[in-house]
Amino acid sequence: MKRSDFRIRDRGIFPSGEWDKGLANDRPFESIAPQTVLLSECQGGGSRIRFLCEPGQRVARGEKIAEPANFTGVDLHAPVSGVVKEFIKQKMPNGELTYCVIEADETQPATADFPYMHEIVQPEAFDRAQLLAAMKDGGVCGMGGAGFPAHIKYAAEVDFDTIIVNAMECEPYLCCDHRMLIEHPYEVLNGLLAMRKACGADRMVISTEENKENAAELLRKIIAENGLEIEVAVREDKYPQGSEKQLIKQVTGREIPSGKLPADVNVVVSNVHTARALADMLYAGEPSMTRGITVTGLVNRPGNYLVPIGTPFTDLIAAAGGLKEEDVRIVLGGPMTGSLLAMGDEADRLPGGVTKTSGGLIAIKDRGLRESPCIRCGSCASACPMGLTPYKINAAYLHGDLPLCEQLLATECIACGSCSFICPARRELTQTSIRARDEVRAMIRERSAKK
Amino acid sequence: MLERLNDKTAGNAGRADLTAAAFPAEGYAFAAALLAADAKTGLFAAAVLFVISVISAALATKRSAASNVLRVILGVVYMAVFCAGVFLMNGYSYQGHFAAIAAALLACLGFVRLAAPAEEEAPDAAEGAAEGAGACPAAAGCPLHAAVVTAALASVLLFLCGIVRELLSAGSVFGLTVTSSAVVSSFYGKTAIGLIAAGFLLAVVSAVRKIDFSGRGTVFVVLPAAVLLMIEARGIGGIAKQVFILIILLLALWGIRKRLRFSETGRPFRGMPVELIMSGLLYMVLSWL
Amino acid sequence: MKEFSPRIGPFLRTSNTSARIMLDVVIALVPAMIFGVWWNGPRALLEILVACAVCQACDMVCDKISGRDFTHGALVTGVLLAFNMTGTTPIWVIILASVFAIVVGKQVFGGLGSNIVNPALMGRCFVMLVYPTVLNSFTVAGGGVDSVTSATVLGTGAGSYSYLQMFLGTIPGTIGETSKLLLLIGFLYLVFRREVNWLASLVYVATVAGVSAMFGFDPLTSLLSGGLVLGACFMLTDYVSVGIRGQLFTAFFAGLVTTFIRVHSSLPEGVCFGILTANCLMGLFVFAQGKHVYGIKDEIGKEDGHA
Repeated sequence: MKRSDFRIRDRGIFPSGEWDKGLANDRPFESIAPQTVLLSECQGGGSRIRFLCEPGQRVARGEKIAEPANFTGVDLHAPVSGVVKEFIKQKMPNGELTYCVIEADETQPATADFPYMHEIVQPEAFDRAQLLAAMKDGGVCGMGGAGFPAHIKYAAEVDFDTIIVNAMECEPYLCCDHRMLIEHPYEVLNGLLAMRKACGADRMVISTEENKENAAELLRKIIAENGLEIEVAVREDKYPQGSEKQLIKQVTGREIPSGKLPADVNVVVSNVHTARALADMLYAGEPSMTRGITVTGLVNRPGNYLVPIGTPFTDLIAAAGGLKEEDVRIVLGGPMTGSLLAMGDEADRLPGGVTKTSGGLIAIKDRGLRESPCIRCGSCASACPMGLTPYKINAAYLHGDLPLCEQLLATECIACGSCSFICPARRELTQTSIRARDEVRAMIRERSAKK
Repeated sequence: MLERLNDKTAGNAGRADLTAAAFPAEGYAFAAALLAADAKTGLFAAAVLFVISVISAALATKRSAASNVLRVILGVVYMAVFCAGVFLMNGYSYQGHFAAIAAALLACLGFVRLAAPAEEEAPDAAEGAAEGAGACPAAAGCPLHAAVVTAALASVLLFLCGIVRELLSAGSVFGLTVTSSAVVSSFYGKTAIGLIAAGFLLAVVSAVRKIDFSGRGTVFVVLPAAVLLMIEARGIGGIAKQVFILIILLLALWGIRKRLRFSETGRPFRGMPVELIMSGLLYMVLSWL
Repeated sequence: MKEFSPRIGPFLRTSNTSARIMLDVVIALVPAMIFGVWWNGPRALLEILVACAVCQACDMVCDKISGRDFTHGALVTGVLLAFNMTGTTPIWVIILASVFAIVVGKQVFGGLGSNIVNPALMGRCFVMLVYPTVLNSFTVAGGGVDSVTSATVLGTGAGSYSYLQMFLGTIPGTIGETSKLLLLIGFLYLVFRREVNWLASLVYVATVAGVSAMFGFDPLTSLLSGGLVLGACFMLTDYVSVGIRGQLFTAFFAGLVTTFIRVHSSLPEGVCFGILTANCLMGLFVFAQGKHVYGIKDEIGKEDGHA
């Protein structure tokens, strides 16, 4: 028996406004020519790559220098011409990672201009196999999230019917996807057309938010001029609408069953940057070597930068005019799901550099937060996009009751951060939900291993 | 950064398990709720329960089928003494006889049931406690010693409870009027307050003697108490009402138990004490029926 | 609880805090408080202050013993408890009720957020059962003239007072319950701040008015008499642990009980018992939940977010 579909209200949270995105929304991409690049062995999520170059080796821009070391890795190509200096280890939020340091030459090869940057090009010249090969050889991965290899995602033997380009960028502060749509719309659209051919979907959707109305209009104009069958869907700027699960439900009305993937509901979702990367590879022969990143928050000149992968984070902060104040946290990624890179006083010696999945570098005011007892207001339960009850998971986890966490479906948590955000008692709900999720999953794995 | 709130008293596990198993919490709660409404019955209940607890603890250290049977007999004897005492002191009517015996046997079940688990725990706990260095104050007879101290503490509290409740409900002690302040109210002698008092008593015992009362059978206290309340009811309508209240009570307790999983109940109150207090509050809340 | 410096997101927080929410509730109660003191005389102010002080003190002592942080939720409990007392209630009763409400009604279960019943209402229930006579007489001051009466709207029927009087509050009653107008103004403030589930309050009063009407009671009188508005606005909306739909069902159930008591029983007021009964049985109402978890099939018998 199914419960009625009448819900009181599906609330999300609305953390964004003029105060955050407004800082860099109107700043067009600037470029940086870094003197050294720091290439991480982890370009996103849990992926790992294995470097094929040696210290002292000269590499040319676009040359393949790394191959996948695990299932989710993709090829990496040298973003600059130069000499490989050394391999160093740096302490990053997700552990100690190996970085390949390349010293860039004074002069870099000039970037050429191509037709696909100014007009729509249909991917008739390519067949599916060629498109997938381009994804693989170009090192194209999911640049909006965990960096999953595009060639594996699109190669799934599924009868895809919808392809969605995720232009929601629902996290506060970030606007690199927005700028990409405004400044390079043709690359994105051409990439989308190619991806559609690669997966065989019928329906193409670009999904975005109200605060990107100018981008939506521009896209609609181009689409109309070229008679393309792409829908541009604009939604209110609620968080976390850009989350894959929520996005698919909004656009197609389908829910991905627990533990399954978008492919299981015949949908494929890709980021704006990913589409552009494919177009670059197909029509310019350029593998994935650059991306946009928003540097914002308490910096003197918030802005967006279209930079080579590997640009050191310190260079980005310097390009943004340095920090306005020192009492900040420097966050890598978005303010809701990102991680702490360093505190403000370490701004001149930040570890790491831009990866394929680095969307933002934000300086957020350091506010000491103090947990107070849960008042059972239920805000977290109302805000949770998955429909969980975070305060219960929090209580159960703190009591060490993992079976109860499993009953409470902690495994479904998407770690969006809405619960901690909305909690008036400043409780660490997201952290306990994530830990409960991971520990329950481990417990389930152990249980099924025993059988 | 994130600490678990798990604070099982691991160090005292050996001693605590044994004394917990041997401590007739249900019996004490029952007595506190229904008997210790005045000083006289409070003293009686305290004395009886002290003796029973000590004997039960002594039996708990032995692991044999015989001691199991002995425990059951002990429970029945306890209840027989209890009933006799109640009749002597309160002069129940003829119908009250049977109702009281029925209630007593139910409490007896609880008493016996809780003594039974000691069978599984006692062997390890006894050995562990005897060999475990530093956990026991006295050497060889440690578990028994601890059980006696616990029983003594609980009995004293029970007696005090009787005195206080008599003072509050009738302004007297052992029948001698002490005060006629406006604070005195007959409601303090009722079962509802009794259950709340029982909860607090057990919480104190839990806190001082570091015994964990979670997972105990509150129902073994509530059920007999409800049955005894039916004595006061008049006629079929009155009894039906009490049955109805009891059903709602049990349903509510079941729901509240689920709710309490997410509460930060203090360690001494966790489990039986808070459920007893909740039962008392429920009796108060449901008095509109 | 401890301070923490998060290493993973979210790094942003809403500007709302628990303290702010509690402050908002107190602010919402201020209009009715002022009226209550004016209408019942300065003694009412003393009662309110004593209730707040004793509640807060008990709360802090218990929190200290349990090793918890101090909070100010007890102040709200104190005000609401005093609102349920009359102008003639002895101070020692207020003290006992406060101690009972906080210690037995709230702290035993684990302090802030862990309580099952509304502590203020539990305090009132305690007084009604243990010292039933102290709530029977009311002062009717209203501008300096002291007079004590025991006639309430529920007691003598609607004929004695006009609707306007009942709405404005110039009638005998407990300190906080009479002025429906000012209570509603405060409530609207909380609605505006989005801190209450006003739909639950609406369901509660609608149930009481509607079901009473079926028994021949004038709905408007039902709405405006007794502590219904106070209960609906400030007691029922005390944060509970069921989800939104469960709250509505709780409100409905509370309405049924309140109506039953008003219609059938000789008790002076049904709001207190109605809401308390609903609080106690809330654990069963999770079956009314229907909270859907993304990607999980809905089945009957599942609690919110439970497998």
